[in-house]
Order: sequence, then structure tokens, then C-alpha cells
Amino acid sequence: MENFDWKTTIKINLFVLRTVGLWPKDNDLYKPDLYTVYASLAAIVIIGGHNLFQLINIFYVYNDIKALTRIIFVATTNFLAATKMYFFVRNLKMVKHLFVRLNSEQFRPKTWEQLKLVEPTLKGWKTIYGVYVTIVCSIVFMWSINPFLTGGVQQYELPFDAWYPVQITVSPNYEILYAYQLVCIWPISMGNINLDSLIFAVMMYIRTQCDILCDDLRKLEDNEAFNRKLISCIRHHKAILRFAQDSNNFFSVIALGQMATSTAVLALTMFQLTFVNPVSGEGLGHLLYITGITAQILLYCWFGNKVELKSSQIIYALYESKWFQQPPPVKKNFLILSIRCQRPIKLTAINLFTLSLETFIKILRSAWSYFAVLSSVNK
Amino acid sequence: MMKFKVSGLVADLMPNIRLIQGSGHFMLNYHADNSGALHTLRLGYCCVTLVFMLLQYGCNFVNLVLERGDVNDLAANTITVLFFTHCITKFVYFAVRSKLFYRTLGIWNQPNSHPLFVESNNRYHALALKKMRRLLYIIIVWTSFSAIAWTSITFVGESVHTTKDPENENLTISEPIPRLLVRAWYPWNAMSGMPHMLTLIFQVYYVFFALAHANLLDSLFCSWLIFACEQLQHLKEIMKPLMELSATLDTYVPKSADLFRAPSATSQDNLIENDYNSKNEDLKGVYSTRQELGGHFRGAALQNFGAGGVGPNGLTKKQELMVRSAIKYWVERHKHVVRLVTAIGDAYGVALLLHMLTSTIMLTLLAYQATKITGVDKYAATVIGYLLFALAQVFHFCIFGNRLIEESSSVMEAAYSCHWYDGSEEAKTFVQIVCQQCQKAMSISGAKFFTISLDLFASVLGAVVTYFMVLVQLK
Repeated sequence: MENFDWKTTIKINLFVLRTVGLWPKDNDLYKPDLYTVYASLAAIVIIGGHNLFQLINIFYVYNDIKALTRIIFVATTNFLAATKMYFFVRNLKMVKHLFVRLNSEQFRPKTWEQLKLVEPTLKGWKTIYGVYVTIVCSIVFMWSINPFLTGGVQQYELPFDAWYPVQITVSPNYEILYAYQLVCIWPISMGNINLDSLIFAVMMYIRTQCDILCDDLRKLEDNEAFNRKLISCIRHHKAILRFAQDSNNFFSVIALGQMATSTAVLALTMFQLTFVNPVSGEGLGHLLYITGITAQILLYCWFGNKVELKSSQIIYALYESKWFQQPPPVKKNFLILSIRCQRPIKLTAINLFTLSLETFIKILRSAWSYFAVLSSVNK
Repeated sequence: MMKFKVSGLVADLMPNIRLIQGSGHFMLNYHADNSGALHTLRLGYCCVTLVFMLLQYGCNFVNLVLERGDVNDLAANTITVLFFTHCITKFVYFAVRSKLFYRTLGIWNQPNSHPLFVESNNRYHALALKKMRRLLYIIIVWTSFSAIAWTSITFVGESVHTTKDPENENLTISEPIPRLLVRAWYPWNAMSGMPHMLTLIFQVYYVFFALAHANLLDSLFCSWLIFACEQLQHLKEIMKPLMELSATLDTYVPKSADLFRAPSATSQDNLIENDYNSKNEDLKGVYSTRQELGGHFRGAALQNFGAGGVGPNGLTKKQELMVRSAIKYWVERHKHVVRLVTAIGDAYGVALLLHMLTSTIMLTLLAYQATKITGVDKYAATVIGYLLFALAQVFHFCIFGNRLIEESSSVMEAAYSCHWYDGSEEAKTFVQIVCQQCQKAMSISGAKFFTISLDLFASVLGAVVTYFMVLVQLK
């Protein structure tokens, strides 16, 4: 399969990242050219500016708990997005290298059958990507037109509470600042979710590699080439382990940040929801937001869980090969491989929390208990 | 007079040991001059320290009983008493189980060595030494800072406590009490003047030494763990060259008797001097590396095996045995590390269990105290200070316990990641056994009740937060 490129699946994802300023062309890093200028401008004006204004606003209102939570549950997501983008750009070299390795000979599907085998996984990612983008787009859209829905346009209300050095309630200022907020929130959100989707894609690729390895192992025939093929499978397995380890290093801190903020934001949004009518525009926006945050953290845990499950299948595939007639040296190779495969690939956030469905349940529980405390403190 | 030589862990941890001896723990070994008079003097110093600690602790306890009427006072005094229980427990524990500590300190007196891996060994040993020193500095700074902060905060704010007004049952008045670091009952009036000054100085001494007792022992434990982790790193590092070396071996299978032969008359054993151990009453008979590993050490000068000739794969017999001895070195070193970790667990496990028990109760009460914080004042500062100190103590040994678990479980991955499939049958058997053996990580347990890891710290933190949230809701 010479011209198979894993990146074709995630074309749209990479395109959006490129537009936001996070993905230099092909396999390059940030070179001193026009794209880097564009990316840095976008970073300073959009991400930096928006977060700064929201941060300043927080300082003004931190005594009033209701106003504080109204700002903080959106501001936190934006801060997190900025942090994630920072860590992504810092590790860009590693990410690009991952994709180069992904397209190497060893990692490509070798037969049509294997191609058919990995297709459902790739399609699954695309579906999930589509759903995730739809949810988030609808959330951001709701926020964008919120002043129109609640009639706050007359009172010169902006979609997000922020502090600006100019007076908001004067006519041209209001329109300009409204447009500025729209121009800020869309790239930040799109960058955020596409970054997440890229991480999901990397985890998905690990799964497909395990699939290909399992297929290779099952197809090991009882002939003289068994040992040679087994050794190439072992090399492939080691390469998969290295790939998983490197990708874990890349998104370890991002996952940790995501988990911490998701817990806090879920609690705060639920708290916010108790102050508004659930069926109003604002209430609907909050509900959608809760769905979005839950989906985000669920997808991290889901993909991590899938990797763990898939890598624990390798040992069964190993057993299904025709190993019993082989001479002892070959069986020894087999034994060592099987001892290693007993330990599945676990993706973690800085080695403290594994990305799995149990962690997801824990996060939901913590969020609920923080919400309970907040509402009782406020009474 | 016996010549005093230090080796192994004792040499590495000498600053720790001296500090522990200085603070009054019952560590009476490791002195150059252990004659009768000096020994009695040191023993006397330790006993005097013990008496002072117990006296002050007793005064605290009497005060707790006397002030049990008021709930707030009861909670505050219980926290103080529990806090100093740690220190007394560690002090008494060390005095009672010092034999196990000496055994652990003496385990690394005679490590094996191999000419191929001397450089790597020395590098990781130096790294371990550096980390141990750094930990000791941090602990000293932290203890001193805590003691100074405690002393300073005594002079902030009013020194009063509330009692029932003798005239009116329903009112409370504030009554002045002596301005001291810890509330305690004394048979003399310590309100002002010379008694107050002397009591204050005694309390400063007490607080500083109590904190030192607990923290220095914990840092000794953590230094052991640092050492074990660096040894594991060394083993992981030499796995790759070992495999490459053994890849030169063919499928030639030697007679197993050759591998474990006792040294011949011409062998030169390059042992570390064991004069100290053989003459030291405490260590002799308890543990002897020489007996354990057998006499088959390889010195810097290779044995001459006479007319060895050239083996089937182009290596001389000398080189083949060099490779096999390298494998043996790895296995024996790994077994040595396992023995060290077991000894550490035996020595300190029960102390950790007692620490966690006391901490749990203390942190619960601290969570209750924290719900009564109304603003940024002396009360809030003291509650937060206690909380941070207790959590820092738990974090201190949890992080090193966690590192040990991580390092020992990554040995298997290191073994797997080298090119073992190109190696000889012998090498593959070795890798297989290593992988199987290292599947289970080495860990330190608190007398088998729980494992010391970051999960433990996270659960302690989570428990404190939960108690706090529940108590806030109950208010």
C-alpha cells in the first residue's frame, strides 16, 4: 500500500488548525515566514486579548459570587484553550515527528483486508468529529446571538462580560467590540476542538496500529518464515509502544488541564443553571454548554479506554497464530512477546490519572459534589 | 580500638545520620570512638531528650483534659496533641526498632561489581548522592522555617482564651493565658517574668526538636528510596549494552556448573573491605553479602583460564565468561535491590501506618476547624499552617514511594525494548525471566494495610476535601 496516507482521514481537522494558526505546512515547524507572522498576530490579538480582558473583568467582580460564576465558566474554558494551544505549539516538533513515523512503511496496512479492517475505526472518528463540531458550533452560535435573543442589544450587552478600555455603551464602540468578540470566540473554540480532535486522532491511530498488528499475528503461517515474520511483528509492537509513549508525553499535560477544568466548569455551569429559567434562551445555552463539556471529557476518556481495550487484544491474536509446531528458540521469542503484551497500553495524564471510563465517572461525581457545596454555601 | 570505616549507605547518608544523632534519637552506632564513657554520655543525652519530650507532651495532654469543656478549645488542643504524637511515636519507634534500621543501613556494604559497568554504577551512585543531599537541605530548611514561623506567630494577636463568665453562666469572657507556642499546663505560673521566659525557651526547643525528630526520620526513609530508584535506573541502563554483548554469543549453551563455580586458587577477589562489618557486633550474623552471593566475584583483573581457545562464535573463552558474568552481575544486583527494598519496608512500614492513622484523625479535625475560619487572621493562619504541614509530610513519602513503583515496573519495559530477539538463547531466557519477575512492581506498604504511592496522597487529599464539604453543609 504505497500511497496510503493516514492523514487523509483528518484533512479537515488539519485544515481548520492551519486556519487558526496552529499547523504550519506539511511536516515543517514554524519558520520565519508569513504564516508565522499570521499565527503570532492571531495569538496575541485574539487569544491573548480576549483572555486578558476577561481576566481583568474577573478582578472587578470577584466579590459577587453570582457575577463571578457567570463570567468564570466561560473564561475558564478560554484560559484552558489558550494553555492547550501553548503546550501544543511547544510540542509541535514531537507531533510532526509522530505523523512522519505514522506514515512510515512499518505502520501502513499491508493488504486490502487490513485496509478494510481499519476503515470502521477511521469512519468512527469522522462521525465523532462531526457530532462534536456540531455541538460546539451550536453552542458558540447560541452565545453569539444571545444578546439578540434576550433583547440585551438595546442595553448594549455584549455576548461575554469583559472589561474594555473604552466605553461600551457608545454606538460605534458597541458594534466594533461585538464584532471583536465574535472574531475572538470562533477561532478560539474551533482551535480548541480541533486540537482535541487531533489528540483523539492520534489515539485512534494507535488503535488501528494494534488492529494491523493483531491481523499480522493471526496470519502467521506454520512455515520457515514464521520466525522472521514474528520478529518483524515484534519490531512493529515496539514501534507502537514508542509511538504511544511519545504521544502520551505530548498530550499528558493537556489532558490533565482538561480534566481539572472540566470538573470545575461542569460544577459552575450547573450552579449557573440554578439561577436561570431552564427553558429560556440562556438556560438552553447553559444546557448545551454542559453537553459540550461532558462530551469533551467523555471523548478523551473514551478514546483512551479504547486504546487500552484494543492493546489487550494483542495477546489473544498472538495465541491464535500457529505457534505450536515451531522450534524452542522461536517459542521463546513468542513467550517474551506475550509477557510484554499482558500489560496493555495505558494513556495517562502525567502518570496520575489514566484516560479511561472509570476516570470519567470519577470526574462526573466530583463535579456533582462541588456543585452541591456551591449551592449550599450560597444559600 | 577498632578502626572506624564507613562504606555503603552509611557513608552516603552520614550527614543525615549525624543530624539524627544530634537531635537526640537513639542512634548510638556509627561513631568513631565508642568507648564506655562517651557511649554513656550519648545515651544520657538521648534519655534526657526523651524525658523532656515526654514531659512537655504530658503537659499538653493535661491541658487538653483541663480545657475539655469548650468545644473549640477541645478541638484545637486535640489537634496539637495529635500533631506531637507523630514526633513522639517516631522517636519511640526508632528507639525500639533501631536494629532494623542498622540492618537496612548495612545492607549495601558489599555490592558486587563488574568491570564493564563500573562507570555506569558510579554515575548513578553520584546522582543518588546528589539527590539525597538536596532532599536533606530541603528538609532542614522546611523544618527550620516551620519552627520559626510557629515562634513568630505566637507573638501576633492576643493571647487569650474564652471561658464562662463566673458571674453570668450564659456569657463568655476572655481570660488571658501565657503567651506560649503550645498551650500547656505547668505546675508554675508562667504568665510573665523569668518563668515565662524560661518556659518560652523550653517550648521553642521542644517544637524545633519535635519537628526535627519526625522530619529527619522521614527523610532517611526517602533517601533510601532515592538510592533504590537510582540503582534500578542503573540496571535499566546497562540492559541494552548487556544485550548487545550477549548478541555476540551463539546458541552455545555452557554447562551450568561453569557459571556458578567457586573461585579457583588464582582468582583475585576485589571485595570492598568488610573489616568493619565483621567486627561490628550488630551486623555480624544478621546479614552477610559474602555468604549470600557466594564467592564468585570477578575482579578488575580477569581470571586466566589457561588454554581456553576460541569458541564457536569467534569469542575466546575469556570473553564468553565475561559476558555470562555480566548477566550474573545484573541478576545479583537486582536481587540486592529487592533485598534493600524489603528491608526498608520492614524497618519503616509500621511507622508509616502509625503516621497515617494519626494523620487521618488530625486532618478530619482540621477540616472541622477550617469551617470556622471567618477571615484572614491568626486563627486562619494557624489552621492553614497545620494543614499544609500535615499534607506536606504525607506528600513527602508518597512521592518517593510512587517513584519506586514506577521505576521498578519500567524495568520490564526496558528489558523488552532492547534487541533481545537478535541475542542468544541464554540472553532470551534471561530476558524472559526478567520480564516475568518484574511484572509486579516493588512497593513499600504500611505494614501491608496500604501502599505508599501518590494514590494514597490523592485519597487523603480527597478525604479532607470531602470532610470539609460535608461539615460546611452541616453548619
